[in-house]
Amino acid sequence: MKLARWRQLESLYNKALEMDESRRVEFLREACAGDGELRHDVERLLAARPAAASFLEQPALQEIAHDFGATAELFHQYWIGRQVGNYQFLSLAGVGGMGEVYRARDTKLKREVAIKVIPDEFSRDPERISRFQREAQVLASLNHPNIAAIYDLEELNGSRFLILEMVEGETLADRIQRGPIPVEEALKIALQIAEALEAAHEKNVIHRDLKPANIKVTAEGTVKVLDFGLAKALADERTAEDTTKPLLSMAATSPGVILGTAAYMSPEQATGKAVDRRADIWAFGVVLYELLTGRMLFSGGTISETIAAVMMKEPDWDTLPANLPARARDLLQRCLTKEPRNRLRDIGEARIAIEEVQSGAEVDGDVAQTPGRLKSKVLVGIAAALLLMMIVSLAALSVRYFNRATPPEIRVEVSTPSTDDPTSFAISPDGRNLVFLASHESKSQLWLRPLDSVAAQPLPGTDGASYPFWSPDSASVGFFADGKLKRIDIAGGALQVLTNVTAGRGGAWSPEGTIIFSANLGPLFKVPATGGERVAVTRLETGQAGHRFPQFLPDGQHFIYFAAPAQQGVYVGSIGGGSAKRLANADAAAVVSYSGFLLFPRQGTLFAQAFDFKRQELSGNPFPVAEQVAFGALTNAPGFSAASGIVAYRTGSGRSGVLLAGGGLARQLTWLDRSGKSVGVVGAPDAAGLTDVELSPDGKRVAVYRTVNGNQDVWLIDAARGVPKRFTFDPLLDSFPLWSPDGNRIAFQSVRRGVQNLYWKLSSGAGTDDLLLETDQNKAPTDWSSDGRFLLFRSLDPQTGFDLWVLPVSGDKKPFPFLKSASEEREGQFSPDSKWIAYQSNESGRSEIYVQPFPGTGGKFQISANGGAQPRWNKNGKEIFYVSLDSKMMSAPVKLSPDGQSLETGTPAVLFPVRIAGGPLSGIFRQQYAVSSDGQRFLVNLAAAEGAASPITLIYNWKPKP
Amino acid sequence: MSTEAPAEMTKLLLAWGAGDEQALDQLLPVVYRELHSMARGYMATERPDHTLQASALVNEVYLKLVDVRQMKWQNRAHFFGVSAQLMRRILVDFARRRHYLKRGGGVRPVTLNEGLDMSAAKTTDLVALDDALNALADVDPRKVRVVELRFFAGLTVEETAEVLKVSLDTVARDWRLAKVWLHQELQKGGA
Repeated sequence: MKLARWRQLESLYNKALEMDESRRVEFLREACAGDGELRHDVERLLAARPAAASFLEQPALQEIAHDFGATAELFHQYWIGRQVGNYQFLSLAGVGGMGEVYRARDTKLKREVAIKVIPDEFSRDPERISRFQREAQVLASLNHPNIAAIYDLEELNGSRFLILEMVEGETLADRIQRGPIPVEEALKIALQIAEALEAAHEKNVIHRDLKPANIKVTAEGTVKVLDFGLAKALADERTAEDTTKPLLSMAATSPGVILGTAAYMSPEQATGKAVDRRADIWAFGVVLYELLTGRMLFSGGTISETIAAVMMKEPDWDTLPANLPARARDLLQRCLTKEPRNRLRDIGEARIAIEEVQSGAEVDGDVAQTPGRLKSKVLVGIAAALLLMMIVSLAALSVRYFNRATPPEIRVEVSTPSTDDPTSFAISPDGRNLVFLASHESKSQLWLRPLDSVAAQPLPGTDGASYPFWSPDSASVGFFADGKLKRIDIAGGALQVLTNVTAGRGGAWSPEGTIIFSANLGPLFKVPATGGERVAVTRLETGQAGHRFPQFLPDGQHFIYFAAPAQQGVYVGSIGGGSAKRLANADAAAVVSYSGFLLFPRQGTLFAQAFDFKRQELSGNPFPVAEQVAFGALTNAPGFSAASGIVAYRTGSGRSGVLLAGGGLARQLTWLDRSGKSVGVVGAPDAAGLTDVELSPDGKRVAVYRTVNGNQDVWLIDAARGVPKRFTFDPLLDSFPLWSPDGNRIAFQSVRRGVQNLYWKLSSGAGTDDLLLETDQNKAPTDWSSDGRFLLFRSLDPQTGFDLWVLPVSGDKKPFPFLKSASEEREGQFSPDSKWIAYQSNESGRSEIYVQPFPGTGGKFQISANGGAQPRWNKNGKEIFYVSLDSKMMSAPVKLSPDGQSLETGTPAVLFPVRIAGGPLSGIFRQQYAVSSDGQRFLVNLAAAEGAASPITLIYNWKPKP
Repeated sequence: MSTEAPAEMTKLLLAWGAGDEQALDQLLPVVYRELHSMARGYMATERPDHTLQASALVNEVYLKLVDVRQMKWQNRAHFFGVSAQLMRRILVDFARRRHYLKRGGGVRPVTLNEGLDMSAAKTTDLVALDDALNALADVDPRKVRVVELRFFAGLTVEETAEVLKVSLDTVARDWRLAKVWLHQELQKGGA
C-alpha cells in the first residue's frame, strides 16, 4: 500500500461519511475523477461499515477470556507444546486445588507422565520450596504399586513442576457416582488402598487428604492412590509443622491449596487436633463405606453441616449391603470410631481383615481386641430386654444427633494469616463467606474465605482496606481504603469508589441500597450504594465525638451504632432521622443477630440480649456468649460479627480482651541503622498502643501517645532509660505531640472541647495546657519550622478531606491554608531551611510524596515514584525518607537551591524493609518513625513479630442460652 | 519472581523497546505467569457469567512487573502506550499457539468445556489481525496505535485520545476507518 494512496483513501472516506448519504455517490464520482480503483476502494469501505460495526469493539482480553473456562484455558494453553527438562507438555489433564495437571511426554524415557504445576504463590516462597523439596524426596521414596509415584521436581523460569506417574483410569469419585460397588470388588479396591497406606505409614508418610477423588482404578483393576502427602508438603510452613493447627485453617494461609474436603476429615481433623495415621484410617473407612453404599457417609449442604455430621453423627450402618461379611462390617466400625484412641490402630490390621474375608475364613472374634464394643456373635445371644435397652438408647442418640430442627451448636476455629487489625472481618449474611483483613507478603488486604471450601484468596484491589461489611445479598463487600469508601463485587472483583472517607469506622448496607458509614469523628452518613452525595443521618449529642460501626436492623430503616465518649453506648437511629435511643452500655460497638439478639462486649465478655426489633427494646437479661472477645479500645470496633445462625468472633490479647489501636500487637521503639539493622531499643515492648514517634531536638526524649486504662494521652519517653512518663492528663483523648524547635514546648491535639483542637504546654511538664488554635475542624500538628515561626498542621475538612494549613505562632496567629484540594494532603514536613514542605498526597490516586516551596508558589516535585507515605527530611536537607507502600524505608536524594525556587530530585532507593507499626498507610496516624540528627539512624515504632492472628471462631447453629 | 527482579524485567522491557526481539522471549514467560496467577485470583471469585476486566488486569500485571521508577515513564500515556504493545504481543502469541494446536501440530488439548472452545467464528482472528496491523503500520502507524490502545489495552476513546495527545475526533475517525479497513483485510484472508 502506498502512503499517498492511503491518504487519499482516508480523506475521501472521511469526507463521504461526513456528508449526507444521498450525496456520496455524486461526490465520489467527482473526487475520484476517473480513478475507478480508488472509487471502488472507498465505496467498498463504506459498504463494509455495518459488517464491521461490532468488530474490535470488545477489548481483546475480554473477548478471548469471555468466561471462566475460556480464561482458564487461555492460560493453560501457555504450557501446551512447551518443553520443561525432558518433558514435553501435551495437554491439560485436569485442574485441581493444587494447580493444573498436564499430560506430558518424557522424551528421554519415552513414557507419558503427569505434570503438576505448582501454584505461583507457592513457588515464590523460597522457604516453602526448600521444605517442599525435602518432603518431595521422602514422597519420591515411596515405591509401591498402589501409590502413584513422584518422579521428579523441575524448574523453569521460576515455575516449578512436579513430575508424577501418569495414571490412566477413572477416579473412585466417578465410579461411586454410578452407584454402589459389589462387595467383592469393593473389598479388592479397599485392600489395595490399605496396602498403599500401609507402605506409606511404614515410612511415616500420612496422606492427610485421602478421598475418592484421589484414588484411581486402572482398566486392569489396579488401584493407585494419588497425591500422597502433598497436602502437607504444599501447606504453609508454620501450620504444616504445627500439627495442632486446625486443618481447616491450613488452607486459609495457603491460597489455592485445597486440603481435602470436610466429608473425609476425621473428627480430630475437623476440630483441629493433631493429625496422625489414624486420620488416614478414618478416611479409609469413609471411602470403603462409600464404595459399598454408593453414597456419601457424611454430607451436608454446608461445611458446617458436614462437620457437624462428621463429629456427631453415627454412620447409618443399615445402608451397608446385607451380604457384607460381619468381619468387614466390624472393620468399618473400627475405622469409623470417632475417638481416635479407640479407632483401628494400624492400617495393616485392615489389610489382614480384608484378606481373611476374601479367603473366606470366618475368624471368630474382632479385628483386634475392642474394649467396650460388643462382638457380633455375642449379640445373637443377648436377651430381649437388653435389645430393647439398646433400641431405647439408640432412640435417645437419634434425638440428640439426628433431629435436624435443632442441629448441635458447634464452634470451629478458622485461622488467618497475621493482621494489623484483628477486628476487620465480617461474615456474609448468608453465612457462606468470611471476609477478613490479613497481611501476606507485606501486603495488607482483604481475603475471602468461602466457608464451603478450605482455601482463602486475597481480593485484588483491596490493599490497605479496613472494616469490611457485606451487602444484604452477600454479593458485595464495602470497605475503607485510600481515604475512600469502596465496594467490591466478590464475583468478578469489580471495584467502585463511593465517596471520600478519611478514616472510616464501619459501615452498613441496607436492602434498599443505602450505605451508612462512620467517618471516625462526627455523625453517621448515608450514601447510595451506587455512589453519590453523602448526607448525615445522626446528630452528635453534647460530649459525643463520633458515631461508629452502624448495623441495620431487619427493617432496613433503623440501625444501631456506637457513640462515645459522653454517654458511651449502643444507640438505635433511623435513616429518616428522628431522635436516637440509647439501648445499652457497652465497651465497644455491638452487632445484631437477626435471630433477635443484640451482641455487645462488656468487660471483655461478649454478651447477648434479646432484642425486639419492632419496638427497638431489649428484654431479659444479658447472657455470655464468649469470653475474652476482641474489640478495638480506640476504634470501638467489634471483634465479632453475626449472620443467620452464626456468630463469629475473635478472642483478644490481654486479660480483658481489649485490642489496642491498630491491632493487638505489642510495639517496640527500635533504633535501626541505614541497613535496617537493629542497633538498640527505647523502652520495653509496649502494649499500650504506642503511636507516633517525635524525637526531641536534643534527641533525649521521645514524644508519643499511648492508651492506659482507656485514657489516651501524650507520654514522653526518656530515650536513654526508656521510662515513659505521662505528659497530658485530660480524661479525654490527647494525641499527636510535636516538639517546638527549641525543645521547650510540645504542641498536641486534644478533643476536650469536642473538636480536635491544638494545645501546647511546656515540655518540662510545668504550667497548664494552653489552647493554641480552635476551629470547627479536626486537626493535628505535623511540623514546626526551624525558626519557630510557623506550625504546620493538617485539618480535616468535611468537603476536601485532609488539607495542610500553617499557623503563625506569633503575631496575628491567623492560620492560612498551604494546600487545600479535594485530595488528602497530610503529614507535611518543613525542609531544614523551612523553604520547602514535603508532604503526602493521594492526588494521583495513590499516596505519593511531593515537595513544594514554602510559602510562595512554585513547582511541585514528586519525590516517591511507586507510592509513598510518612515523609521525613534528613537534617542535612539532601535527602527525604519515606515508607513505600510495600513497607520499605526509602531514601530519595534531593538538591535544594538556596533561593527556594528549584529542586533536583533523584531516584529513590530502598534502604530496608520495615515492619512499621500500623503499616505504611495507617488511617489517621502520622509518621511512625523519627530520624536521628545525623541522618544515620531511625527510631522506628515496630510492630512486634508477626505471629498468626488469633483465630476467628465460628459458632454454627448458635443457640442463645439466656 | 517480580518481587525480586523488577529491575531485570525493566531492563528486558527497555531492551525490547529498543528493538531487541530476544528480550521479548525472556519477558513473555514471566508475563504469562503473572497474568496466569492474576487470572486465577480473579477466577477464584468469578461467576461463569462474568467477564474479566481486561484493562484492570493489564494494569495490574504491569504494575507488578515493571519497576515504574526505573522505567521513567514520561507519564501515564507512555505507560499505556508500551503496555498496549506488550498486550498485543502476548495475545497474538497465544493465538498463534492455538492455531498451531488446531492445525494438528500438537495433541488436541482437553478443554474444560468443549462448548467454550474458542472458535474463529466467535472471536477475532488475532494472528490475521496482527498481520493486517503490520501492513497498516507502513502507511498509518497512528491508527495502529489507536487499535492497540482500544482493542488490546481496553482503553476508552477518551483515554486513547489522552495517551496519543490527539483530539477525541481524531481518535474516533481513526478508529472508524481502522475498524472497517482491518475487518475487510481479515475477510479477504479468511475467504
